[in-house]
Amino acid sequence: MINTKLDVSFSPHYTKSLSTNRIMLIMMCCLLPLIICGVVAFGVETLYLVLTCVCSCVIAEMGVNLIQKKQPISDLSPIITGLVLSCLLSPAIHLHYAFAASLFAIVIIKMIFGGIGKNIINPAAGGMLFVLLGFSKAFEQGFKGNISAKTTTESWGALFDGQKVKFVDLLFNSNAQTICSVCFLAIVVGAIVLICFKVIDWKIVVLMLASFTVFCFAFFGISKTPSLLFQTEVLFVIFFMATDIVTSPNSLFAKMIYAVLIGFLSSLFLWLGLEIGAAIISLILIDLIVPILDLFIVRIRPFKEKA
Amino acid sequence: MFGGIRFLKHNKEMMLKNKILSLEDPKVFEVPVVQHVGKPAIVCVAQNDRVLRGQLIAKAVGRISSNIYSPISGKVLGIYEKTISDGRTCEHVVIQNDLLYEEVFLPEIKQFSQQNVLIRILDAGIVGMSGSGYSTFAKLIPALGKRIETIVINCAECEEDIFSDSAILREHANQIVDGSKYLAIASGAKRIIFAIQKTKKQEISAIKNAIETSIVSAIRITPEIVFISEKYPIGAERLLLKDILNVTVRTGEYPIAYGICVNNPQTANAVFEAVCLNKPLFERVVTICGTAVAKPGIYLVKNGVRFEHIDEMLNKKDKPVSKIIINGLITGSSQMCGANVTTKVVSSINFKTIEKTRKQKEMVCISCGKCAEVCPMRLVPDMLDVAVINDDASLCKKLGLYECNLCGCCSYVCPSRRKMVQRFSTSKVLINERQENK
Repeated sequence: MINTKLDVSFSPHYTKSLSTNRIMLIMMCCLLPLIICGVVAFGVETLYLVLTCVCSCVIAEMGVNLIQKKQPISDLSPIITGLVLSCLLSPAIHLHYAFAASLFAIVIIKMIFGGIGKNIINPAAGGMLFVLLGFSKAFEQGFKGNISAKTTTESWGALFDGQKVKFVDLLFNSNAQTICSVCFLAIVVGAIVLICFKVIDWKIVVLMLASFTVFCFAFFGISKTPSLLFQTEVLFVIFFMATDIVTSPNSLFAKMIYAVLIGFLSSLFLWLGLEIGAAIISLILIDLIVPILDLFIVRIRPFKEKA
Repeated sequence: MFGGIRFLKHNKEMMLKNKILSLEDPKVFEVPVVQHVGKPAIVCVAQNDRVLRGQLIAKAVGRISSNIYSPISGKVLGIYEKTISDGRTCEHVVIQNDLLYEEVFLPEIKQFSQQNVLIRILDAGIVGMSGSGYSTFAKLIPALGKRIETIVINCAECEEDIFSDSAILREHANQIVDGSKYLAIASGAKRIIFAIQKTKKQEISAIKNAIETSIVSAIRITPEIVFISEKYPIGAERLLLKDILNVTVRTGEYPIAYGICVNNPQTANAVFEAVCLNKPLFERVVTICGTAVAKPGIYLVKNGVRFEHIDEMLNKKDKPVSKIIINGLITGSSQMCGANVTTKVVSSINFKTIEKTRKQKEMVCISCGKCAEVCPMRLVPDMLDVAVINDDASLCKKLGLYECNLCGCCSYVCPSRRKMVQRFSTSKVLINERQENK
């Protein structure tokens, strides 16, 4: 039996199941282990920070959309911005700084440029930099994790030397200031899931890691590199922020240039003595040249018409 | 090939199913006079005439038109205007099936010379059966000063849900190989190439056997088999030629400029039937599948059968069809009504039930670059999309709108469900029209 009214649509009638919202959902799930680690290491303050960031991001996006008379919330992107931003901050920070950072990230960096897909720099990175530059005091209140006794590299080094190490020491980093540097394993697990779902491209991630490691060797020598990789926010930035599909370039060649430059600049800033935010600042700087990369790296089109 | 998509073929069993099944004939056939590109054929029978199976009912006019033959014997009930599967309207010759199956075929060819075979291809109304519907006769006669050197039989069939060519290759490989030789005779080509994916093992062995046993006395060419990539859209002519012969057919050119003529295996089969069995073209192999179909499979279907009839014969009674898609899920078109009929160019029919058709909302582009990764023509679809939306004809040209072969890879992978290929195909037409009007 055929219905009297048939559905008519334009081809293709069949699409890949990976939609924008599903990408965002996978991303959120991949951030969760890290946040749980943060809660375990720093206590409930972490949860307050995460909730503040997420809620203020969502409210900011809704507000701007309502002013522009659009649908208030069309996707999960503000939640991701909030989660990523909270990971970049220290749980010791006063919550009004977190609120200001979220507001700046969504309103100034994202919505003014035209909303999702149009922002030039990563909103979370922008929000973090806003707090870092505007209220540098916010980062001065140190907050030590209360679980582990050693830093990640110390305990893993001891494990490779054949000493007995506590399991908790292997997981957590005593030196951590921010949620994103508390447990590198949680980041790696999340990243592997992202790669499996093809949300991020493994080639770019590997290239970025390789470039960062190589330049760190060049600047610091072999002994200090592991601690820079596993105890700072670099790993988090590489896996969760530099692979952001909105702000990274489109073509593979441009992506490779982007990856190498990020590795180079972050190690350079670390070498120049920037303790917090070296990777964030390099990410923002490279994001700014992405439109130029996209414009000038033009593909050779084999089937082009003869002039 | 650059880019492209690898489908997860859902109907794997159907790919290996060996039999081409036959479909019970309906009582009434409605044969459209447009089953090809080019001018409509002119009806040459009148109401109440009795026609036989294989009798000419509409005659071609113009260079790329084609003859239409009756698929059945019976009385002509009338000649009506109706829509055809691509949305145009044309005359349909309505024939009542008298179940006698009396035949009248074309006269036998005495000598297989180039001229005789060519004229037979023209007479039998053979068109490109991959879905293009371009007259094979016109394809085989190149412009002055050009010569056809190579015949390529394109067995790629990379679209989702079309398995007709594979089935006919398994069952009638010898006819197809012979048919390709007659195509070579007609065009004066010196080389025949079968392009096929390495994974189609049964088909490859069938072709190999056929090549060994085939004897066509008028020509001595051994066809070659060339393996191609398994990605969609390798079956697109230009991409195929770039892959197998390293010939770049640029936009605005045709393979004939390089002495190549690409044909479908079913066209080769039709040529064999026309030349050796004197049978004109009035039926073809069609893949029938979809969620509403109880017995999906590959069927031999005559031209002029209503989709409604196929639905009645094969579908589950409790599942109403809410969408009919012909010619594949990626590039095919959805049908407005079930009263449309099969033609020479309908290669697959997909009947979908209500659960499986869902509307997808278009979201904002997040510039992920996935479309640029898969575009086989190496365009940047997201930038092109902006140019098309802004109706910027010069930017469209600069970004290569006319190179787009509308394969739909960009829209298939887009996580934001942008309807890119849809806009490209409409604006291609619109911009052309505007330039003509100036």
